[in-house]
Amino acid sequence: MIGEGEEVDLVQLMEKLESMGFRITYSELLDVLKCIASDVKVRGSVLDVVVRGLSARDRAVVRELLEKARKRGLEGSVLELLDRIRGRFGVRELMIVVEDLLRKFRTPAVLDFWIRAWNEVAKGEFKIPAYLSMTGKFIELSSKTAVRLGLNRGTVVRVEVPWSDKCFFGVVSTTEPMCRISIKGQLKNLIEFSGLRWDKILKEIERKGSIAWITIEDRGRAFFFGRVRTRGRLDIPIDLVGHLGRGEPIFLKLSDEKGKVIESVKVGTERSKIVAGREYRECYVQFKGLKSGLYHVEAMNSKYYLSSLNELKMGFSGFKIALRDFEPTDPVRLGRYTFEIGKGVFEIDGVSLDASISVDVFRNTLRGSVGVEGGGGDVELRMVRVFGSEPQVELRIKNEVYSLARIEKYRTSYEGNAIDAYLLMLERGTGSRVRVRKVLFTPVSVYYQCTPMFHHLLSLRFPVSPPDYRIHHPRLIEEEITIGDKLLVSNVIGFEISRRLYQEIYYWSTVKDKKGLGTIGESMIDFLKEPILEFVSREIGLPKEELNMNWRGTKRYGLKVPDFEIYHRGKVVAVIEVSLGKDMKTVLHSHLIPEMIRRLTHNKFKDALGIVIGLEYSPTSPTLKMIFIIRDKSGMWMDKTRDLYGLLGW
Amino acid sequence: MARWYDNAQTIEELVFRISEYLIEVNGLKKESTRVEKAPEEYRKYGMDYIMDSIGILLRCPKDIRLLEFHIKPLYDRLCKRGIFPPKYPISIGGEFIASLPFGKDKWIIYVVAAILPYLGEYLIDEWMEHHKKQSTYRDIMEFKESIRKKWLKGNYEGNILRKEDLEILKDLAPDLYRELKHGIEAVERTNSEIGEELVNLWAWQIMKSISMICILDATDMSIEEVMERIPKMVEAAAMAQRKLIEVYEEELERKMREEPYTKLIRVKVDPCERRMWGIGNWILASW
Repeated sequence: MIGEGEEVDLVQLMEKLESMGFRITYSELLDVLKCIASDVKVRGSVLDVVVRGLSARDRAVVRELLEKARKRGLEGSVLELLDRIRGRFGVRELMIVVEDLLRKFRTPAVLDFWIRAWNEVAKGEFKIPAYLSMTGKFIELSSKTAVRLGLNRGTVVRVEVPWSDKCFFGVVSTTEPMCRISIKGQLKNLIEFSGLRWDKILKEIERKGSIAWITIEDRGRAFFFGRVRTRGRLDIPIDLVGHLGRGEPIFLKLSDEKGKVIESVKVGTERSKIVAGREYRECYVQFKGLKSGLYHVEAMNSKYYLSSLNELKMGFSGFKIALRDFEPTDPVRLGRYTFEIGKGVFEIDGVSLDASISVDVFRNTLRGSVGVEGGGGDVELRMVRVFGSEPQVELRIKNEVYSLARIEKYRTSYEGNAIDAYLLMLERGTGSRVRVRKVLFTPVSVYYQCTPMFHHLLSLRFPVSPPDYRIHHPRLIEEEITIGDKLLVSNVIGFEISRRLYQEIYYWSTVKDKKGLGTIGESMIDFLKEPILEFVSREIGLPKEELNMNWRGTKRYGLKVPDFEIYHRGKVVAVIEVSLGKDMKTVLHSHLIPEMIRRLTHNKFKDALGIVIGLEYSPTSPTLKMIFIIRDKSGMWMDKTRDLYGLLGW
Repeated sequence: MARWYDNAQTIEELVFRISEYLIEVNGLKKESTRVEKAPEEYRKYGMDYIMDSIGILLRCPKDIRLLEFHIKPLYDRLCKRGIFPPKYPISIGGEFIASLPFGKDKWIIYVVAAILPYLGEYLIDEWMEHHKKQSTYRDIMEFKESIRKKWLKGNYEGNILRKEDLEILKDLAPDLYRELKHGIEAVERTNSEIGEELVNLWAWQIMKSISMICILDATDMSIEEVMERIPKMVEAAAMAQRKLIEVYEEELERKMREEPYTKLIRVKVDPCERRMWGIGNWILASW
């Protein structure tokens, strides 16, 4: 707080405000301070505030500019400009302005014009005022400013002109001796699109000056004026192909001169043609049924589009269904017209599941899909948005599409916890028949109507008679997994489990019951007692018949006991920790291994062999993976998965 | 004064007396009740003796500091007899612990009310689900170590968890936070009803579980002194179990009233079939 009569260091205050994310000019800050305390004393001049955070060299350049301005009686207006720029932007932007103005002092007649131009910049986003050629074919700026800005040959920039709110692209063609940006026919197109005439523009230039504003265009996005020709063919400027991504889906937003917006997703067709012996490359997309004419186009690649997309949402019978939290990935072609472009979250009233995001450039759709358990990979629940219309939820079974007809919310209470699940009824009309399919949307998965899980979750009780914990068809799979920075596992044991056990794993993970899931891992290892005892016997050189394996487990014995202990004549010779999880590597690295190291320092286990067993279940099949690693007395961790496999007797 | 852990005989005497007490308070005592060698089906779980419907694990090696015992009802037998849950579905154990907040080299007797097991797996699942929302911790290891530092300050082998210690879980492990908060609530209700801080939530260096237990520092105690304290501890632990169920039920009722739903399914699982009795992710009895 600032008290009456107190002295305030403006540089310090400004730095503090900046660190908190506030940006303010010197004059604005003074006004604020006067409002808080009328007789506040301040320390620090406008120049001190402007040059804060600058290097000694940059400070000298600022002083040089002010000295030159003073000689021409412009010191006040230059200082005011610098305060505005520094108040809105960072040090880098300030120095671009300072060095640009210094160069403009070589032709003092235009100084006023450029100070006015930079003052315009201080009102909004940072952009560079540059000279627009009277032919309308290029824009020029000092190559030093271009270097400061990071412009190179081929860089795509966004161009704005003072007499239109529409922007377009330009490409840097040369950087020396001046930086020249080619705008090809874009300016001509803008004039035609806006219904202006070149002679009127010349008058505007006379009035406002021959100026254009440039900024580096965001990677993956560009604006341009494009002409739709016969059969809806829209040319994509060839200079933008690399900028947007070759062979990738492009999201296009076309506006006509009346302001009507058409959205679409397309893939460009690229080809070469020879005209008068010269080879030209061209790229175009096809819009069926689109009126010929000139359009202002915003083009985005999938990465840019998904990062700027907040969410897709729809309401259905009072339920809010949304696709959100988009994470773009490199586009992968799935079919002739379909591309996977990222990941996202499919959510119904707060219950969410991971979804894959794809586009169909033929059907002009964006969709988020979740695989449905029990559909054998052929059933997907999707939210689909055809560009230009509202999103819809549908179930796709092979080539059949079912539309959402009803949702019911189920609340399942289980041992004091409540889990929400949504029963979705989707239908498809074929002639006079209406076929209905049901899926259950839970926090873990979507279950198809024919799966046991669907019925378990909608019935009153789960069949809890003990499942068959035995493993079937074990096989050694070559799979390299690095755990921490020292241990490399080169094989895992893959095996099948009974359907009933698979259902149980899914049931407990759906109702988020860790105690149910944890017990399964331990029970499975109990069934591998014989090969484990055989392994320990060989490892420590004691007869197998003299070893006893006790299943302890925290859930049975309270405080901090291991899952299993192996005894020889009353002495613990090996200790086993087991974990069943969705991600075995994380469980081993962040839980089992560090806890085993800690446990082996305990007196009781200090001479024991440490064994950790990681089990990983798959969300799509009753196939599990197992890793078996040991820590010997010397403290070395070793992968013994292959050795255990050899003892399984298959 | 002879202490209970002086030698194998004194330890055995205490263990059998506690077992007898547990049988008695559960109304299971018969004339034929006596200590027997455990049959093979129980030996698999480390039990050495049984006394009617009570199982006893007793490890008494030469190095007395490695002593451990654990006494718990044989719930499968009680299920067969149709008397599950018993009046006091608790277990009692004892061991030597090198460092605790109340001192070094302590011999403790504990009564277990409930266990929240698979803590490591719980934290990993929660991290996977929620870590994208934060930037405080680089990875799960860093998160886990911060929890360990907070919960086990003083580097004790075990420490009491307080309400304020749970804040670290609030954003990154909200489900676990909720369950531990319910645990603390149950403990607070129990202790205020008894008028003494008997039951607590305990975290351990081996972050495998959180225990809701009643610990007695029995370092300087004789068998008689321990036996005098046992009834109150058993009573407190059983009360804590009831309070824990009460806290969950209250929350569930509130949730059912507040939020709309089309259909309610109350899943009922028979603990005798599942071989486990619990509330939330807490285990009250397991066999």
